[in-house]
Amino acid sequence: MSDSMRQRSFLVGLIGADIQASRTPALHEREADAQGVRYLYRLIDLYRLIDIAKLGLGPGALPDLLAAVERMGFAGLNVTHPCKQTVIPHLSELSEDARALGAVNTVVLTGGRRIGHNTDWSGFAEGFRRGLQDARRDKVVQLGAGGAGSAVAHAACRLGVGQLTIIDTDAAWAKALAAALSERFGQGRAVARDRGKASRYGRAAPAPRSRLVCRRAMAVVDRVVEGAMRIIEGQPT
Amino acid sequence: MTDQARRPSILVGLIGEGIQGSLTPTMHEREGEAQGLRYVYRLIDLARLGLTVEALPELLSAAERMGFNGLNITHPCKQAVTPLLHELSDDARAIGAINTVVLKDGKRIGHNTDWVGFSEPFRRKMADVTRDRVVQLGAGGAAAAVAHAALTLGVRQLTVFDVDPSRATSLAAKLASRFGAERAIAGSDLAKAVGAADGLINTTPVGMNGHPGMPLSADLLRGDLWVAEIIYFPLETELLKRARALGARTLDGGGMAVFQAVAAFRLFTGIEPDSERMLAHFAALRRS
Repeated sequence: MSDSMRQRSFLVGLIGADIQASRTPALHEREADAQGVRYLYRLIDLYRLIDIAKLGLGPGALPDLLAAVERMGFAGLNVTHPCKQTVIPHLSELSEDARALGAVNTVVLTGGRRIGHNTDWSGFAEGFRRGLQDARRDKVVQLGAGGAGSAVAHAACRLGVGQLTIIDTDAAWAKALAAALSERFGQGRAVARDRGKASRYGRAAPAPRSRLVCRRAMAVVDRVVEGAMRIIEGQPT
Repeated sequence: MTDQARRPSILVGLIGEGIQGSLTPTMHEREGEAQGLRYVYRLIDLARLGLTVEALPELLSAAERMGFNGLNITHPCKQAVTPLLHELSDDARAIGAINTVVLKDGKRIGHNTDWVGFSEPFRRKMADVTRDRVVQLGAGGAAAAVAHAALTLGVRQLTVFDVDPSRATSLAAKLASRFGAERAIAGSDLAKAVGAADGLINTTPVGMNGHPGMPLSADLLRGDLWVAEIIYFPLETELLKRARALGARTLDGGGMAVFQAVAAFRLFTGIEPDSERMLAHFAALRRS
């Protein structure tokens, strides 16, 4: 039988909680159509599975779900909250980026192996390159140090940000992320600042330079988000 | 991007053993595409996964969780799947075997499309053959569905043979209880039964790739004994070749492969497939 007669088909899915509004399936399927590939993207929503699974759902269901998707012939998975970290022990290999980030958003299933990747950081970096190519990036403030935060911070350092100041409502997260980034990108590339101090600066205005940095950085964040959304929406940037 | 831009999608699979050569996935996917659906059909091969029929309960819940619209079921799961279902169609219940499960709104509904798979091509190609006495070889696997089809097609008496005589007796008894005592019997003397028969149906695997040979002695064939097969690898079995050489009417297994898929497609999608297009596609697949 020739390959042209038996076109390959791809089945992929997204595992996460509360993902019904995700636009990723439509994005993938549209592109596959344009490429002439038979492609189906299914949502595997942990919230929706609660009633049929007696698994005490949440990330605890991951080992069973991974075995199930392999058996049912999935070519791969996207993984999102709350599974990006918890999926790691169940994988056979990690890409360098995924290992550095300690988070996986993409799993390729091939030949009985499960290979974890992280495409979040490159998603942000590519959006930035297209939307803010010439923006200055000596000093940048990042708000948030959670799952996506660690991928975005990784991207920011890769994009050549001189120093990334990380602020989070949980100061310990900000510190941990800054430490991990400094270890990868060099001492001092990322620092944590606690939110209390930042707001004190703001109120008393004793440090106008910091305030200026903060304002500039926020403008950058706004434009980045806008740029990324345009890319996600498929609009011209 | 709006949801309207997404074509309706159908995800189905085949659970069974030794199914890598099956043409069913391609037939469904192609027809799905022609109907404007995003249609993906996966093979869930127990042998490849290192699983046995014991894994069926897990595989059914996996299919539900992963958003499958349905499953085809084949050897060795056609009977084992029955207790795992919520409802059975009348045909599936009568035949006692399931080859199609529709998954909908948390329910698992079992159907059997093998019997229409046999009867539809028979109606199309063998409409005028005499069918008073017919011999069926084999009482396992798809045999119950084929026998059900034969009696529904008006065979007056079906004589069933099997290498395991108790299987033949048990199938004949079940058929007799549904269609009437004289309609189905277990045979004891093959030469005599074939000698008196108008037609012969082979449901054994003998003649299939990997099982070469003839399911009965070639001496028993005659030019006025029609022969029907359900094997489609190869399409022309040794049995059909010998029968044709004698000038007998024959029906190969290709039609059954297509029409069981036609009926399953209809159940999975609620859309009437184009059976002529599926036949043409199957023929093209066989040639390539």
